[in-house]
Amino acid sequence: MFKKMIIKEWKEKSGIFLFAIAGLVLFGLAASGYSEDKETLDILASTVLLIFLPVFSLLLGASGFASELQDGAWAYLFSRPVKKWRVWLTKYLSLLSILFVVIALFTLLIQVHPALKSAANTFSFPLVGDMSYGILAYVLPLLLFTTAFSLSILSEKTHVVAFMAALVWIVMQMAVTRAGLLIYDRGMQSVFFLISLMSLLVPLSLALASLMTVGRADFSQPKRRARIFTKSAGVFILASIGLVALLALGTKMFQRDRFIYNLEARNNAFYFATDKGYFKFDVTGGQTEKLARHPSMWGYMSMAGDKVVFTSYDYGGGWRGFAQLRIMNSDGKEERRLVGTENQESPLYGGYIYPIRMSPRADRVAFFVRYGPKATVQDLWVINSDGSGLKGYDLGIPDAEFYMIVGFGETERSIFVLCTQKLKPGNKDGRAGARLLRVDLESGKVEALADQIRKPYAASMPPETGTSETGLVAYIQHDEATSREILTVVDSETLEKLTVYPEDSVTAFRWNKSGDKLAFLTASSRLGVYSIPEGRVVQIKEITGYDLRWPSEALEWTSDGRIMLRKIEGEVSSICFLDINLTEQRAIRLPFGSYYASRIWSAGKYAIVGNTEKNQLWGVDLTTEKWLQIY
Amino acid sequence: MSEILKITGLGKSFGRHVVFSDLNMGLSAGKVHGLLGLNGEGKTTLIRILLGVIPSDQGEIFYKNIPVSFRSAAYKEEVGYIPEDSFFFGGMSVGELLGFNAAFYRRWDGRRAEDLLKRFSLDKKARIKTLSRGMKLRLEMAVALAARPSLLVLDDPTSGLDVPTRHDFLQDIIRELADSGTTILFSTHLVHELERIVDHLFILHRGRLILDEDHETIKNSTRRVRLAFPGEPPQTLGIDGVLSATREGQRVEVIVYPWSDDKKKKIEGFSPILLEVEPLTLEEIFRSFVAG
Repeated sequence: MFKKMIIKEWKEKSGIFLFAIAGLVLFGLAASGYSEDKETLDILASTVLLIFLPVFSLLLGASGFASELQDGAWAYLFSRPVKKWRVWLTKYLSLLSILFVVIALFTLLIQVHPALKSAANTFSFPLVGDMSYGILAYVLPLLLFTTAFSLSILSEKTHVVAFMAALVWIVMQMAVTRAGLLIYDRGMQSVFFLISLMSLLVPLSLALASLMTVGRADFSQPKRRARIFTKSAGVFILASIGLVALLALGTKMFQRDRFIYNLEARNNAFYFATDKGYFKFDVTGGQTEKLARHPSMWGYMSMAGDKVVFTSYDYGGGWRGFAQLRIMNSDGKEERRLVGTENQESPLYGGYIYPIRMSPRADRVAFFVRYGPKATVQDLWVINSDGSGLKGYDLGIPDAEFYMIVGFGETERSIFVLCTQKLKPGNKDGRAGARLLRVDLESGKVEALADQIRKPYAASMPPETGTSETGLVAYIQHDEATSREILTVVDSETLEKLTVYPEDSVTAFRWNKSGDKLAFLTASSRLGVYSIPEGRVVQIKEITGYDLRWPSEALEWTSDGRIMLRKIEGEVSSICFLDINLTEQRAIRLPFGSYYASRIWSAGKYAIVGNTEKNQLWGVDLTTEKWLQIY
Repeated sequence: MSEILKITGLGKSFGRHVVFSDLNMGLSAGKVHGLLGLNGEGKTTLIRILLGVIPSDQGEIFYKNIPVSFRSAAYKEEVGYIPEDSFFFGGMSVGELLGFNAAFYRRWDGRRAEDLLKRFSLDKKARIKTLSRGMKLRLEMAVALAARPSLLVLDDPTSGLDVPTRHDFLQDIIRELADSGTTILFSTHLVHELERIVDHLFILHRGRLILDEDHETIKNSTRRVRLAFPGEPPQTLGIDGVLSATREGQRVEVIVYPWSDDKKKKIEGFSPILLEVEPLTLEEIFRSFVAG
């Protein structure tokens, strides 16, 4: 029965199938015609992926029961000795096979077509093989098709059904977004992701309702048919909402909803961003205060002098949120907006703002705007702290994946940026490496200082609170000849490079607070200290018993020039303090299991450690050794 | 005689419009049943319910004494169905339609299908949409019969066919099928077609089954009575079962069911100067039943 039904459906739908093939052929020919013009190729391929395939899915699905309803053949089919739900299912699978053949042909086409193949890396949508390609090219059409097919039992008018399905989809997406934002504003981010399950559950509900209607309703009465469908769809959708709510409760995500994004230690304070807002832990008073509320998923902040700049995501009661850059004093006062992305005319429109960096003198802010519809040309932006003088810089890196701002140069004339590149398909080990760039803020000139900077993409400048602004950038670079990760320091003015410790691969490093020493960890568990003024490694020692998981999080300097490390001994874990001879002087036991200890910081007389299990921050007063939950 | 199909208390409404209610009927195995009714009286609805194409509102259906419902599929293996205007899938060829249907029926008889095609002079390769109405009907017949049904239901199949086709079709096939033991339910509004082939008659009228009787019986007990009186005819003849009565001066014509000698005697009591009793055609019987 199944085989015959497939043959029948393929024959009946041969028109729309040939239409799709003709579309793909036209697309292939057009692509050949524009083989040199990558932007046009991108537009062409995006049109097929983002418009043609969804519309085709809707139309194909909507044509599901159209011919049977038109000529009354439904009565013929339903009088055959087969369960009605099987007729539905067989038809569904038959049409689905048509849809997937068309999608597979499209996928094949963009992979074998010479022009498309060579331009694929510059396409604005994900590459074939990526999960997001699978979602966009297969899952989304599947869901649209299922929605339209489920509704096709209601009317023989294909265009009406396709329109209804599109409407259902749009309303559903709006409702999901709206509900998501409401939940979001209440600080329940994990539930936010569960909400998106509705995108799967609604088409599933409609499909079940459609099946049920076929099995129960009188097809000779369109109104009664529609009523049964609407009723059962309502029940299934309500059940889906209940399921999502149960899942949310069951996973106890409400309690675990604490996210800590962005932390920065200063001599007198410790600043951090969470899903609840921006906070400051005052070291002298031992108190945490909330500086600013921000209903945002990822909070970024940067500070210098007495100013804090941070990102916010403002929904303003609308459907769509827009990123903002805001600034305030370090006590949370005088909070105001610097620039936003809601203006359609602005080149920042619709983008995400990250990362951000305040200049050492607190008079300028550098930031990136990514993924906005207009964010393709200019990547880096700089604005004065009073909101004036917005200027964009085109870094000219088409395959940039993400950026980190390493810091401003000595005279604030230039800015240092680390840029990772999109990996080519099949390259999973990060061999593309990141590049260290210097951008001249006056001329806009971009200069590559180093490449092959590997994960965890470590590059940093000494803290600007240090006594000297050295203009040095330290980074870990992969050396092809020795296959080692080499810690290197480059002078941003003279471009002179120093190799710190070529004997071993360096896994992590940290500048001291005054910016004249670098502590580093190596692959063979050595801890070393390099002195910039002396130009040599002043201490190097093999260390045992320390917790060197995620090395870049395991190393810190205190403000009085000692080195902090984590340690695990059986059940007991602690943070340890080593003097300049790398001898352990003191260990303070952690108030929670070591396994969950994350990065350690030092701010004034406090040492701070994160708890990854509960997403908490704990600080210990080094004079009293008393622990305090900061967040 | 055993009943192959029985329905009890069947009811169906479309919104507020009651098509029929509390319908009871049975189909005897091996007989040809005619389902008569004017257009729009619910014949197609009744047949669709019997075939499980649409659900009923009330009532039960038994196939070979086993209750079946809208959701049952298995009993349809044994039920052939020729829907009204059953000319779908125009893009398929004759052979393809047979193949398509063969996939649904376990009892499908491929050789019989071939034989039927030959007998009906159907070309396997012909597209269905190119066939004439008569040929399409033959094709549907071939499809239905190749599944070797125990019960064959035809929903007004001959409407719109030319006379020779109707004649052949009825003569040749229905009678032959019935003789070989297939039970047939034949719905039509063209009553005279049934005259020679039908064993049992149902008349569906205004939501009720107003007749459920063997053809022989109804033919033998329905009579047209022509009367003439010397003066004014009596207001009433004092008998029941008068389906219709017409008066014209001194003449009276009544159709009576059931007819009996007692009634004849009663009428003779009025001393008519003319008394003619004659049988009616099926069509005339039907008309008098639905006229009242």
